[in-house]
Amino acid sequence: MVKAVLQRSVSGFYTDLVTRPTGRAVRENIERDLAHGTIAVMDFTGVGCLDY
Amino acid sequence: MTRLIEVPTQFDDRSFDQFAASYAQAVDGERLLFDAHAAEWASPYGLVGLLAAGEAAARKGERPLLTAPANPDVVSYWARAGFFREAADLFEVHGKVPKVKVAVESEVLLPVTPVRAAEDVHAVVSTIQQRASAILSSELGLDPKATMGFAMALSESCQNIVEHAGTGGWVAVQAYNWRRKLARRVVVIAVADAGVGFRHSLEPTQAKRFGERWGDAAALEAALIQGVSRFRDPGRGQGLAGIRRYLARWEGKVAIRSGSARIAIVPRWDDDLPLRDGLPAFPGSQVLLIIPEQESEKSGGGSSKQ
Repeated sequence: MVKAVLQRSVSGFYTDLVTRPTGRAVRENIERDLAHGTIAVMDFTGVGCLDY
Repeated sequence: MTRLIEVPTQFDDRSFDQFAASYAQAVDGERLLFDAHAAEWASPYGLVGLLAAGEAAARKGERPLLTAPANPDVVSYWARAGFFREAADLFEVHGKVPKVKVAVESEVLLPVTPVRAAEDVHAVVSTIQQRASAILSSELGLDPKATMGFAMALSESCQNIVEHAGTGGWVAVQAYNWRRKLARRVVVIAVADAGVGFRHSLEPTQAKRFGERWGDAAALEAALIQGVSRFRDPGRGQGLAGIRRYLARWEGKVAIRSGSARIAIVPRWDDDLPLRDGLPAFPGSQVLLIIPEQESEKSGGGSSKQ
C-alpha cells in the first residue's frame, strides 16, 4: 500500500504523493522493502493527489 | 527619497506590465511607496504579484510602504483574501485595514498562502482537495476526476518556487466571473515569487544552445514549450508539461511572466499574445493558470469582478 509507505516515509500526516522530497522518500522506502526480482503491485488506494 | 509606485485600479495580469514599468524605474536606495488607495479590484495574480514586488523592494533597501485601498469593500476583500496577513511582513502598511478573518467563503478557494518549502506545497494541496472539489464540479462543470488534475497543476506550479526560485513565494486560488470575451466562471491559480527567474535558472545549461537569442523569452520558451529543466537528471521538466496537458484538456490557459518576457498558451476564448518580449523587467516569476467553466446548457449569471 503506497499510502502506508507515504505515511511512514515522511513526518506529518500526508495523503498526497506530491513534491520531490516526498516522492524520493517513498521510492527509497519501497526499494528498500522489495527483495531483488520481486514483482510488486502498487496499491494507490487512499492516496490523494499524485504529481509528476 | 521616496518613489511612488501606483497600483492599478484594476490590478490583474493585463495591468501588471503597467505596474512593472513603474517598479522598473526605481533605483537602489530609494524607498518605495506602493500606492493602492485607488484600487478597485485585484485578481489573485495582482495580489501575489504585489507581494513579490514588496519582497524585491525590501531586499534592495528600506522596507517599502503600502497605502491600502481606500474603498472599504475593496480593502475588506483584500483582507479576506489573506493579502494583508502576508503584506504585514513585507510592507509598512498605511490606511485602514479591517481585522477580518481570512476567508472560508466559496470564491476564495485558497487565500494568499506563502510557499517556502515542500511542506507548504503539501498543505496547499490538502486544503484545495478539501475545499475545491465540490466547487470545481458544481460551479465549473468539471468532471470530478478533473479535480485531481487541478491539485496536480497547483502542486507543480508551487513546487517550481521551492525548487528553482531561490526564495519563497505566494499562491492564491479564486473563482470569479471572467467577463472579458469568455463570459463564464473561471478558477484562477496565481503563483508569484521574486526569485532568480527562468533566465538565470536555465542559463548555465541552456544559454549556449540559444546563442545570441538567449534571454528571458528564450528561457520561457525552453521551459514551457520544450520542457527543459535546469537539472540534467532524467525525468525532470515534467511539471510544466503536466500543467499544459491538464489545461489543454479543459481549455484552460497558462501564462508565465519572468524578467522582461511573458509566454502564454492561449485558448480560443482568450485574445492574449503567445509571446511578448521587451516588457518592463520584473524580478522572479509570475504564473497564471485559468480553468474555465465547461460549456453546458447552464445559463450565465452572478456578479462580475471584471
